Amino acid sequence: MRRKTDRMIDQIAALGRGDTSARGLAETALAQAQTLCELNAFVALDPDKVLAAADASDGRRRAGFTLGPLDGIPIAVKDNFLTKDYPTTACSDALPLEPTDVDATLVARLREGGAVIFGKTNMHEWAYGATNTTSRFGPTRNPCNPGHITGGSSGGSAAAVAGGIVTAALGSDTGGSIRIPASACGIYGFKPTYGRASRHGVLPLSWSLDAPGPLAASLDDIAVLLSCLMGEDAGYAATRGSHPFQPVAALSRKARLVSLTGPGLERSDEVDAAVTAALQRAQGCTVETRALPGMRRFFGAWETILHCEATAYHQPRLATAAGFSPVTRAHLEAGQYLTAQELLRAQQVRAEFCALLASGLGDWDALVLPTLPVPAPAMGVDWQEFGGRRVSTQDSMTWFCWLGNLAGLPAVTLPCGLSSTGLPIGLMLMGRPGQDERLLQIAKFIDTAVNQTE
Amino acid sequence: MQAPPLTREQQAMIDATLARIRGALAGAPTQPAPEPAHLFQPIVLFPAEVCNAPKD
Repeated sequence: MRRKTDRMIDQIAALGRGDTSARGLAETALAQAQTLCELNAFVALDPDKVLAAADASDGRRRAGFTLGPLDGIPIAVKDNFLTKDYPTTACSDALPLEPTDVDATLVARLREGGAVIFGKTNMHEWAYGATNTTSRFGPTRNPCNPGHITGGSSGGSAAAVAGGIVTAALGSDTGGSIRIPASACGIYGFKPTYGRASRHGVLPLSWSLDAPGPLAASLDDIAVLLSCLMGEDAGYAATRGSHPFQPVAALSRKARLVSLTGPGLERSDEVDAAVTAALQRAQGCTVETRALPGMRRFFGAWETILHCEATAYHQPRLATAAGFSPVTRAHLEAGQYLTAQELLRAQQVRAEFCALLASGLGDWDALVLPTLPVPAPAMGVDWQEFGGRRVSTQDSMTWFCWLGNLAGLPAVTLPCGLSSTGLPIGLMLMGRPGQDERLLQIAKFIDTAVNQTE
Repeated sequence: MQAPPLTREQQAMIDATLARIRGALAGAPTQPAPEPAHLFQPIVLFPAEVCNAPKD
């Protein structure tokens, strides 16, 4: 059922040549969405709105101008980004099914660039989970095998891209929520450095861990999207000083990669083999293996900050707990018991972790790990076993990815092979803070070697 | 409307979460607290390594 995914840059080129129209792209996407409706990727999609935006784009092109490279490109949006023409519910019963008359900054930037907002995508309730099986609209299914989960929490966005409905979508990432589903569905996902893309108008899970970013059919697509999305936003103070994404040139010197291992970083044999093989093909990189100590403590810090910030945001709703699923409510209630001292201790550990990455691992350009320790789990399977560990499916999804959020690092996932059952395996690279362009440059080099996209 | 009481399963989840977190942080070495400058950032309380990093 999976359709080979076109790339967005191919759509841009076809529009430029006049080989297709924005309406043509929109109609194809709508037809594919209908064909793949069993994936449950979309929670709101209005063909009239899509076609009206596409016709407006075609009108501009006929008049001899465009608003930018994204003009006429259908792009889906995760249901925690405010959109003035669709309801925003974070897939929770706690919010009404009514539009808010406001666009999140990144949605507004897409519209200003002429993109066709292609509906809202399914997600894990409030982004408070990484399986996409808890949603007021039901679970999302993996286009590579509908009997398996997409991962989450941006699972609908990943399914929409991997299913070939759209070539790009917006997601958000607090402990891997862009990278996890992108990896599980065999596509690309990019979490920018904290503060380089505006969170304004994105319903928060944990505001000092959250980062919005794109999922797409190729790294070239991601570069185009980041050029539109990143940069300072007067409405969001954390972006102060953030400059727009710069064009990425080819890798001009060897990249120094550090492959992380140690307790807490175990992975299945087939995932390890796929990642190792991919790195061996990337001849322009040096790869050093280093142990990362203190994983239990660092994970504890991430989890403390996550629960405290989520509970603080949801405090008014907890009085009645109306609309929360039982598991989400339990997460939020846990945050109420954590003390101020424990949150400050977690922030101290966070500072320790950032210092360790900055100077305790030698000189590196990117840290490398699998994105997930296992391929996409089957629906309804609550536990995963790998590397001598027995871990809940939820925890297996965030197993590696939260590291990037705790330190605010840019991170990218790219497909690097298939499991014995044909499910995608992803490789994750994390760069130094602010060096998103360098990270994408390294990822592109490895992707070309592994997936021969050029 | 008041929140309904927690179920036994929810209470068990909460207890497990708190035990895991407290066990993980209990042995953490004491570091200097985040610098006061970070407390004045309106939205984030974030380590200097990220906030002050060059943007490319």
